[in-house]
Amino acid sequence: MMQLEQGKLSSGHLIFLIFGYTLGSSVILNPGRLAGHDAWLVILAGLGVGLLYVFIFTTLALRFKGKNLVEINDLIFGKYLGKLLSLTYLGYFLWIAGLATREFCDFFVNTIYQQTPLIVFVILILIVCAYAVRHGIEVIMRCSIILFPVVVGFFLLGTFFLVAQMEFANFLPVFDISWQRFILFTCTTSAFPFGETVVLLMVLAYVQDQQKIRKSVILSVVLAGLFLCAVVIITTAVLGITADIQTYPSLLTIRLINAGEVFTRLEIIVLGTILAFGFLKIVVLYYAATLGLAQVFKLRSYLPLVIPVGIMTVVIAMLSFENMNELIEFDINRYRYYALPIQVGLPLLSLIVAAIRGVRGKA
Amino acid sequence: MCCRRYIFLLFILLSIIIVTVGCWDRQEMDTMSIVLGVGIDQGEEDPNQVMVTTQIVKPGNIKRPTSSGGGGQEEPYCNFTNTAGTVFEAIRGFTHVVDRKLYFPHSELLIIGQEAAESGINKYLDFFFRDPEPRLTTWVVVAKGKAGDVLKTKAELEQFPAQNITQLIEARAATSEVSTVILHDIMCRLMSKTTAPIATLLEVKEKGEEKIAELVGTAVFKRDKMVGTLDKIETRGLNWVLSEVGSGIIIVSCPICNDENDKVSLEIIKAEGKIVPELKEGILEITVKIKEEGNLGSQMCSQDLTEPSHWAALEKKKAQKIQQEVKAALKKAQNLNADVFGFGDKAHKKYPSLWPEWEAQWDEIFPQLKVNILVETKLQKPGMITKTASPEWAGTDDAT
Amino acid sequence: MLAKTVKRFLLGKLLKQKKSKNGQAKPSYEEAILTRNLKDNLAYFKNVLGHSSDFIVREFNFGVGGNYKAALIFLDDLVNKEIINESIIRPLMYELNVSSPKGLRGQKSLDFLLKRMVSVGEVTKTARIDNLLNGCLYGETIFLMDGFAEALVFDTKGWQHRKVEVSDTEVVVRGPREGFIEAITVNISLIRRKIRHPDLVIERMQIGEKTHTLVAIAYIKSIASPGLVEEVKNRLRRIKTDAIMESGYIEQFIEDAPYSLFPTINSSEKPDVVAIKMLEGRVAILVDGTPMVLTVPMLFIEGFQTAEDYYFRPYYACFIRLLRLISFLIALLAPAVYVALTTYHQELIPTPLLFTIASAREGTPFPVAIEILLLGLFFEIIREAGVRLPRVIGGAISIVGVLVIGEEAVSAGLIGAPVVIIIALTALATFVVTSFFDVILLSRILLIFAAAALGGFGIGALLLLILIHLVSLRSFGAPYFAPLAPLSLSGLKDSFVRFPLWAIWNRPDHIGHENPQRQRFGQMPRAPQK
Repeated sequence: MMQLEQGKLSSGHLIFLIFGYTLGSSVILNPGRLAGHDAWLVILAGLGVGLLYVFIFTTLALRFKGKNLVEINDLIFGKYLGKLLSLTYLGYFLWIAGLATREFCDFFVNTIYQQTPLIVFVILILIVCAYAVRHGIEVIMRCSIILFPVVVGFFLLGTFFLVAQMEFANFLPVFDISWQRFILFTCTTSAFPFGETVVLLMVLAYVQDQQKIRKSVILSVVLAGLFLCAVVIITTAVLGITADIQTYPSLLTIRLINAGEVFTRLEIIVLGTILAFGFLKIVVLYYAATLGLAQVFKLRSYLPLVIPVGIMTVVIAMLSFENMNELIEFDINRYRYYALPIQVGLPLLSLIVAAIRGVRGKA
Repeated sequence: MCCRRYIFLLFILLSIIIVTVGCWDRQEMDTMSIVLGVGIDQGEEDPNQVMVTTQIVKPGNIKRPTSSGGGGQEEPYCNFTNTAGTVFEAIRGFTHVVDRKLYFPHSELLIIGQEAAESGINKYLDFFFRDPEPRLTTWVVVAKGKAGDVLKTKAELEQFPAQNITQLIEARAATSEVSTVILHDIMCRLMSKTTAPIATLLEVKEKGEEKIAELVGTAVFKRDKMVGTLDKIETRGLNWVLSEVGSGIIIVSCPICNDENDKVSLEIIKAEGKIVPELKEGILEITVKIKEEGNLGSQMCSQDLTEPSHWAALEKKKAQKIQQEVKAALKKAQNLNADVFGFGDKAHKKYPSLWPEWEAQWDEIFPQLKVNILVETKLQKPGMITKTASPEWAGTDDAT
Repeated sequence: MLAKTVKRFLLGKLLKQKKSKNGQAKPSYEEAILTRNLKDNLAYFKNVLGHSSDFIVREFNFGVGGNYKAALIFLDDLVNKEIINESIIRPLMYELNVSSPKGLRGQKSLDFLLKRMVSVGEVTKTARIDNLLNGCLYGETIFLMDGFAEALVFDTKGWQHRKVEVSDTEVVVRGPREGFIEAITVNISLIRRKIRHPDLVIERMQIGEKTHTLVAIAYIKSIASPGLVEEVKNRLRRIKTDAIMESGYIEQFIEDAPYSLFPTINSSEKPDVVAIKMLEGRVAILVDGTPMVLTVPMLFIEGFQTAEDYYFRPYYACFIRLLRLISFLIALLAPAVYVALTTYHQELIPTPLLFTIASAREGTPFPVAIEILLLGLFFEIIREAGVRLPRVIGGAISIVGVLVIGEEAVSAGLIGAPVVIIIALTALATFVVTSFFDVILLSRILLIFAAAALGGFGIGALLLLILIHLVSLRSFGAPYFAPLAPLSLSGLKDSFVRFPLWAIWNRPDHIGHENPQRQRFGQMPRAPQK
C-alpha cells in the first residue's frame, strides 16, 4: 500500500513535538486546579499513571513497527472490525481536536478579545493548522522544534520575575485533600493531558529508528509533566488561595509581575505560550484525524480530506458547549469517563487480542 | 488553478474589509478614556446605590517635557461621577456623560469611601475581580469620608491626583507606617475564613485653600465590612509582624540621660517577622519573632552612645519600642476581633488536623489568644561620625 | 560523391555528440554545414551576418606562390585585433614552411595548421555552422580555407570590460574588497585564485535562445554531493527561453518555490563569499554579463551570515549575528506590533508610555494602521528615489529626509510622532540584513494588515503561517530551516552565534554530507608550552 505520509521523523526531534503536544493548552488551564494547593501532587500522580498508559501504547507501537494505528487495527482485528475500531479512535481524535480548539479560542475570547465572536478565532487557527497538515508531519515536527525554545524562554523569563513573589508557605499543609478526591483528580489528570498522547500511535510509525520510540515518548511525557508541575507550583506559590477561583490562574500569575516598574504587563508570555502549544496540540490531532480517515477510506493522499476535517472541527468546537461553565464542568467531572476507555482500554484490548492471535508486525 | 485565484482574491478582499471597516475589539486610542483611579461611595440619596467616580486622562493636556508649552493651564485629567444600582451598571452608565468608553487596565488606584466600606466591600469588589480589564495589582485605599473627594485633591509633583496617591503608597517603605494592599491581597484575605482584610487609610486634609491627601494608617475589615482603624503606630506594629517593614525611624529616649526630651533616632534597615503557632497544653499560642537591624540616625544628647554598654542599651530600648508597637496593634486587633495578622492561617498550616475545630470558633479564640512577642534587634552602624560633634557640654549649660 | 555524403554523415554524427555536452542552445542554423568551396561558405556567412557593419571578412592567400586561399571572418568590435594580426595572419603569410606541395596537398584536414602553424593558444576545429556563428558572435575568429569543409575557430576575445573593483553592494570592513565583474572569464579566474585545488570543477553551458549566455557551474568535486550537481545541471538544461540577461533570470527559472516570498537561491558579488560557500558543499552558478553569482542550496540562516563574520574573532561575530537577528525581528515586527498594541492591547503598554502615545494621537485624523502604512509607503518612495537619483543629488534624499518630512507632518497634525520614530527605526533595521530585504518589506505589510485585523492574535497566527511555510521549504533538497529545524547541533555552531573557527569541525549537515569533516580536531591555538 502506498504510504500516505512520506515524511521521516527523527526520534530525537520527536521529543519537542510530544512535549509541545502534551502540554497543549493545559499550561493555561492548570488541570488539577480543584485540588487547591495540592495540585502539584495531583499532577505528579497523574503523570505517573499517564506513563502507564504510554507504556501500553508504545508496546503496541513497538510490536508493530512502522505501522500506524489504522494499519495496526486492521492487522489485529481484521478488515471490518479493525476499521470500526479505527473509526472509534478517529472520532475521538476529531472530538478532542474540537475540544482543544474550543479551549484555545475560549481563552482569547474571555480575556482579551471580548467582543470578537468565537468563530473568528476558530476559523483562523484552523486555517493555520490546515496549512500545516497539508505539509505533513515532518513540517509539524520542525515547527515544534522552533516553538519549543520560545515557550521555554518565556517560562524562564516569567519565573525569573516571579521569584520574589513566591511564598512557599502556600503549599502547607501538604496533602490537605481527601484520598477519594485525590484519586479522582489523578484519574482526571491522567486522562487530560497525559492520556491524550495516545494519538501518537498515528505518528510513531514514521520515526526512522523505531527502537527508540519508547524512550523518546516517555522522556518527553516526563518532561512535559515536570514542566506542567513547575507551572502549577509557581502558580500556587504566587497566588496561594486565590488560584482556586481563577478561570486562568497562570494569566493572573503573570499579571502580578511588576519588577522595577519596567518589567510589568508581560502577558505576552502567556499569549505566546498558549498560541505556540495550543497550536501544536490542535494540529497533531487534526493531522491524525485526517491521515486516519484517508487510510480508512483507502485514499491515495490525505490532502482532499484536510478541509472537510477542518470544517468538522469547527463545527465541533462551536457546538460542543453552550458556555464556559459547561466546559469547565465537563473537563473536571465527565471527560475522564469518555476518554479513559479509548486511551487505555482500546490499546490494552488490542495488545491482548494481538497476543492471543499471535499477530506481529513485520520487522 | 482558477480556484486558487479566486481564493486569493477573496483573501485580499477580506483583509481590506477587515482593516478598513474595523474589527470588533479594535479601539483607537482617541476613542477610549483612560481611567486612572476609581472611587466608590454609597449613593447620595439612596445608600443602596453606588456612586462611582472615575478620574480620566485628557491626553491633549498632558504636559510633556519638550512640548511647545502645550496644553496651557488646563488640568490633564477630569473626574466624572455616576450613580447606579451596581458598580458595573454605574461604569457602563458613564457613556451618558463621557463621550469615550472607559478603559480600566491602567487604573492603579481604587478608593472606597468609609460608608461604603462599612457596608461591606464584597459587593463592590466583585466587578473588579471578575472583569478582565481591571488588574489585580491595583492599590486599594479606604478614604475617611467620601472617595470622590480624594480624587479632587491636588497633586503637587505629579500630573494626576491618582498618580500622586499611588506614589504616596509606593513610598511607604520610608516609614512603614501605613500598610499597602493590592486587589490580589484583598482577594486572598477575603477568601480566607479567618484572616481579616486590611486596606490603606487615607484622609483628605485641608492645607490652606487646597485639599491634599494624606495616608494615615490602616482600615480593618471583618469579613468584608470595615470595623475599625489602626493608627500609624499600630500599623507599624502590624507591619513588624507581617514582615512589611522596609525602613523607618524608631524614636527612643537616650538611655543614659534620663531626659524624655533627649531623643535618639534609630533608622531601620531591615526587619523580618515570623509567626510561629505553638501548642501548649492543648491551647493554641502564638509566638511572634521579630528580627531587626538598624543604624544610628541621629542623637540629640551629647553622650557617646557608641560605647558598647550604651550601644547595647540602645538596642534594648529599641526592642522595647518595637514590642510596644506590636502590642498596640495586637490589642486593637483583638478588640476589633479581626485577625489581621493571619494567625489563623498559620495555625491551619501547622496543625491541619486541629484546625477545623479552631476555625469554627475562631471568633472566640482570637481575642483571647496569648501572643508572645520576641524581638531581636541589632544596631549596626553609627553613621559618618562616631561621637557627637558637641561632646559633654551640649545641653548641660544654658545659652552662653 | 558517395564518399562526400558518407564523410558528411560521419562528421555530422561525431560533432553531434560533442555538441550535446555543450548545452542545449540550438539555433536554426543547426543543419547547415560547411562546403569545400570557400566562396560558397563566404557567401553563406555574408548572408547571415553581412547586414551588420561590424562583420569583417579578411581574405588572403598564403603559402608559396600564394596558392592557398583562405579567409578570416570576425566581428570587428569583439576581437582583439593584435592576436589576429600577429598570431594568425603573420605566421601564415610570412612563414614559409609551407613551401613544399607535399606539406599541404593531401592534407585531409586543417589539423596541420592547427598543430604546426598558428600561434594562437586556444583553437578548435569544427564544420558546423552553428558553432561557427556562436563563436563568431562571441568574439572568436573563424578561419576558412578553400578546399576544406571545416574551419578553425581562434579564441581572440578582446572586448572592453570593467576592471575588478570594490564591490558596491556588499561593503566590508575587514576582508577582501574585490568583487565579481561582468566578464565570466575574469570571474572564474577570481574563484580559481581562492580555491587552488584540482577538485574545483568548472563546467560551461550556454543558456538563452537569443542571448546564448555563457553560464558556468563551479563546485568542488570531493565535497559537493553528486546528486546536487546533477540536479543543478538538469534544471539549467531545462531552461528554454529567449534571453538570460542576468543571474536573476536563471534564479527565477530554477528555484524551488517560485510562489514563496523567501528566496531559495543565494547570490553574492564577492569571490571569497562564493568560495566559502563552495567549500561547504554548495554549487556556484556564474552567469556571463553580471557580477552576481548564484549559490545553491540556500538556507535561511545564510541571510544572517556574511563573510566578514568569519574574519572577525568569535565574540564580535556572535554579537553581530545576534544584532542581525534582532534587527530582522524589529524590521519585521515593529510596525505591526505598534499597530496591535495601540489598537487592541493598550493594556500591555506601560502607563507613562501610554500617556505619551495617547497625547500624540489626539487630533490625528487617521487610524494607526493607515498612518503606519502611509508613512511606510512614503519612506519606500523616498528610498527608491534615493537609489535611482544620480549621486550628486541623491545624497540629499536620505533617512534624514524622512525624519524632516515626518517632523513636519507631525507638526501639521497629520500623524503622530511615535509613528515616525517606529518607521525610521524599522527602515534602519531593514538594511542590516540585506539578503532578506525584499522579504521583510512584503512580510511587514502583511503583518500590519494582520495586526490591524485582529491585533496580537493576528500577528501570532500570521507568524505561525510564515513559520510553517519556512519550515516546509526545501532548497535543492536541503531543508530551508536547517540547522534549526531539523535540529543539527554541529550546524548550530555557525548559526545565530558563531563558534570559534577551530571549533567548527564539520560542514553543514544537509549540504556537505559527502565530506563532512572540515578540519581535524584539536586546532585550538595554545601558547607554546615550556
